[in-house]
Amino acid sequence: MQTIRETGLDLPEATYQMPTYKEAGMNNFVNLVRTMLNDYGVYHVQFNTIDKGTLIDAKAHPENYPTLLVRVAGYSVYWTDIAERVQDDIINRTEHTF
Amino acid sequence: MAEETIEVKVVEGGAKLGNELRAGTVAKTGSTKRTQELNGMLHANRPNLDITRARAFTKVYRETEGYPALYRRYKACAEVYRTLSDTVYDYEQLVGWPTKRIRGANFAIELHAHWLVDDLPNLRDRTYDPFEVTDEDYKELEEDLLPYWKDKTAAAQWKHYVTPEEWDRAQFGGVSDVSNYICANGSHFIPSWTDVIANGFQKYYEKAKKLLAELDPNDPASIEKKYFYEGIIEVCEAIHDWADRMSASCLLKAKEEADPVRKKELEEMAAMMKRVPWGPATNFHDAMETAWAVCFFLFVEGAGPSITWGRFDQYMYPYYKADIEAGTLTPEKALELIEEMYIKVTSNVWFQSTQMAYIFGGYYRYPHLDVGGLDANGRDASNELSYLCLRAMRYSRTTSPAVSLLLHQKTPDSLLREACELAADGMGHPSFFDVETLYKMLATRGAGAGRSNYSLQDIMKYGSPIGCVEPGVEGMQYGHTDSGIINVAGCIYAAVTNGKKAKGVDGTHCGKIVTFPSGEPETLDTYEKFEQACLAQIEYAIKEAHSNLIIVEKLLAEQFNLPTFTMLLDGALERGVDATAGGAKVNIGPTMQMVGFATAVDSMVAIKKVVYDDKAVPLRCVANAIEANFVGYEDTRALLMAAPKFGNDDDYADDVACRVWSFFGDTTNKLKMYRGNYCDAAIQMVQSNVGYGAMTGATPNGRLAGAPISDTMSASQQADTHGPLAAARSYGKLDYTKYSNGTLLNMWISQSEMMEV
Repeated sequence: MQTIRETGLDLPEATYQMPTYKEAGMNNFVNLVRTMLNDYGVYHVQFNTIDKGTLIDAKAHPENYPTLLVRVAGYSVYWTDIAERVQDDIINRTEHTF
Repeated sequence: MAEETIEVKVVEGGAKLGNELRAGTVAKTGSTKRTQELNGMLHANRPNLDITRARAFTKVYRETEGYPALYRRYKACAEVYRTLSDTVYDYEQLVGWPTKRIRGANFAIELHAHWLVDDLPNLRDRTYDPFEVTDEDYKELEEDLLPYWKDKTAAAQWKHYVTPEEWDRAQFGGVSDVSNYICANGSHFIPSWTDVIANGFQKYYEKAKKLLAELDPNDPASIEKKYFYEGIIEVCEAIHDWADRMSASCLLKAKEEADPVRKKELEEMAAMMKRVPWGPATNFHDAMETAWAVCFFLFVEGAGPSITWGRFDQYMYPYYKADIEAGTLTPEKALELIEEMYIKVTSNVWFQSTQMAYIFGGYYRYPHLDVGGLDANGRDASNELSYLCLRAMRYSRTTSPAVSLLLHQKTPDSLLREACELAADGMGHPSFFDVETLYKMLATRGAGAGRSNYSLQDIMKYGSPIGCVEPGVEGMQYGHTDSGIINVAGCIYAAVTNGKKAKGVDGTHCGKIVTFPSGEPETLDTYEKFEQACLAQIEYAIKEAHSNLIIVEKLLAEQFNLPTFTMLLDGALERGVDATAGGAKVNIGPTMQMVGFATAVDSMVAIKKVVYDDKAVPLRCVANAIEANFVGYEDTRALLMAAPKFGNDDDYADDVACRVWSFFGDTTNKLKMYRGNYCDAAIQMVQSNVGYGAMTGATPNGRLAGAPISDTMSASQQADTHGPLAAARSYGKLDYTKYSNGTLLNMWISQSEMMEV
C-alpha cells in the first residue's frame, strides 16, 4: 500500500503549513503512546499539546485566539467557547516534558 | 463556622464571548477553496434554535390523542423527515441539513419542555451555550408548543415516581446525579453503516412490509407489532420523500447556476439523491452522502450526543478503492469530501438544559470516527483512508468529529506517526485506543461478571469506541451510556463528615446529609474501617442513581421510541422491538460514570498516611479542617498535601487507587437494568470535574472547596510529578475490564517538545 505519507498530496490551495518537527521529541511521543497503550494496556489517552504560555496568553487576550482549539476531555472545543473556570482547570493540569 | 469563609467565584466567559469573537470571515481553513468557504459559512453562524421538529411532534401528537404511544411516536418521527429543510448551499457536495439555518439545533421538545418553559427568557443570553431564537419562534414556543409539552417530558413524568427531595438531590445534589440521562434519549450509537450504505433504506422498507404481511392476527404479540411495522414503513417513505425533495432542490439550483462546472456538479448531486440514501451506494461520493445523511437523521430523531461513524476507514474503503482504480476519484477529492463531512457535523450543535450546559457546555455533540485497528482475521486493517481521515482534520481544523486511532502492535509506525503529528498540532485530535483492551471491554459489555452476547468476530470486525470512549459494536448495541454520575470526591467528603455535603458550595443540600451517615470520625478507628466507610458511601451513591435510572428507562421504553435507530440495528426489525425497548443484540446502559477519582484516592491516601500510619492528627481534626475549608488548619493541610499521590508509580497510593477502582466497577456490574442487561461502569465524564468540583467541599488531599476535582481518570492536577512514564505505569495498574463503558485519560505534552513553534 502506498500511503499519502509516501506519495504526498497535491493541494495548491491548502491553508495548512507543514511544521518543522523535532525528531527526538516526536520519537519520545510516539514511543510513549505505544508503551502506555500496547504494553501497559491503558485503554485510551488523548493529548493537549498547546504550550501553557499560549493558553495563559489566550485567556488574557481571547480576541487574538478566535479559533484556537483545545482538548478538554474526550472532545475538542474552541478555547473562547469554554468558561473561565474550565480554562483555569486546563491551565492548572500537569504539563509533562520528556 | 466555615460558611462565611468559603467564596465560590462567579464566572463569566463561555460561548457567548466565543461566538462574538469568531463571527465573520475568520477560520476559512481547508485543503481547497471549497472547504475553506464551507468552513467560513460555519463560523459566520451562531448556534440557533430550530422549532421545525417541535412543530411536527406537536401537530402529530395533537392529531393522535388516544392512540398507542408507539404509533404516535413513529408517526411524529416520520413527520420530522417530511418537514426537514431542503436548502442546498453554494460549494456543497454533500446534500442535506438537519436544520433551517447552519449551526442550528432541531431540538426535541418532548424531552426539554419542562425546563425550557421557565428558562426560555434566558436562552439567548445565558453564559453557557446561548442560542439565538427568532421573535416569531419564541412566541410560538411560549404560547403554544411549550405549554403543550411541559408536563409530558420524561423528566416531568419521572417526578411522579420520586419525592421532591429525591428529585432535587438527583439533579442538583452533586454526588449521585442522573440529570445527564433524562433529557438525552436517542444517543450513543453506531448504526449498521456497512449495511445501510450497501443497501439503503429501501431494504428496511421491504423487510418491514414482508414482516407485516407475515403477522398472525391471532398471536397477541401481533397487536403491537402491527403498529411497529406500519410505523417503520411510514418513516422509510418519509426518508424517501426527503431525498426526492433534496434532488429537486439540487436541480432547481442547477438551473439557476451560471458556472457550467458547478451546474454539472449540482445535476450530478440531483442524480445522487435519487440513488441514496434510499438505495445502494454506487461510488465513494454516494457512500459519503449516506454517511452524512444517516448521521444527521439520528441527531435529529435522538436528543442526545454521540452518533458515531465507527470504523469509517473499513466500510468506506471498498468504494474508495473501486473509484481510485476506475480513475473517477483522486485522494485529494476524497480528502475534500471528508473535510466537508467534518465541517457539516461540526455545525450540528447540542442543545442542553441550562444546568447541563453549566457542566458540559461548548455545544459539542460527540460524533466520532475511527481509523486503524485489526480486521476480522486479526491482520492490520489500516489503508489509505486511515491516513486521509487523520490528514483531513489538519486541514479542516474543526472541533468535530473526534477522530481516533485504534492502535495495535501491528499498526504501522507510519500511521502512528501520522496520528502523533496531528496530535502535535494542538487541536486535541486524535484519541488513541488500545485495540486489545477494547476487545476485553466489549467481551463483558452489559454482562456484569459474565460474557457479553458479542462473538469475537462481531468485536473484531465492528467494535469501536462511541462518543468519546464508550466501547460499542456497529449495528448491534443500543443504550445511553452516560447516565448516572457518581462524584466519588463528594463521597469521601461524606465519609469523613458522616454523610454531609459542605456548606457554601454550589447545588442543593449544602451543610446537610446528601448520602447517608456512615459513622462519626471517632468510630473509624482503623484505616480499614475508614476505607469501608468510603466504599459504603460510593455504593450508596451508585444504588441511588440506579434506582432513579431504571424508572426513566421504563418511561423511555414505553413512550419515547426511536424508529430510525431501530431500523439501523441488526435484527431489531425481525424481533419487532424498538431500540429503547430492547431491540438491540446487546442492550446496554444506563451506566455509571465515576468523577473525581484521583481526588478521592489522594484524599484516602492522605488520611491513611497522616491519620492512621503517622498518627499526626485524628480523623476528627481532618473533618473539622475540611468543613472549615482549611482556614485555621493550614498545618494539617500541609501534612495532608505532603502524602503520596496517585500517578507517580508509587504503590502506597496506587494500591488504594486499584481498590477504589475495582470496587466501583464491581458494585456497578452487579446491578441489573430495566432491559435486563447489567450496568456498566465508566470514568469519562469530560470536563464535569469543574461543575462537580464547584459542588464539592474541601477534600482531604488539600484541595479547597469549590475548586475542580480531578478530571476523568487522570492524576490530580499537578500531582503527577515523576514524568509521563511514571504516570503511565500508575494508569497501567488499573483493571480496565471492569470499566466496559470506557475510560478516558487526559495528558499534556507541550507542542514545543515536538515541533518548532
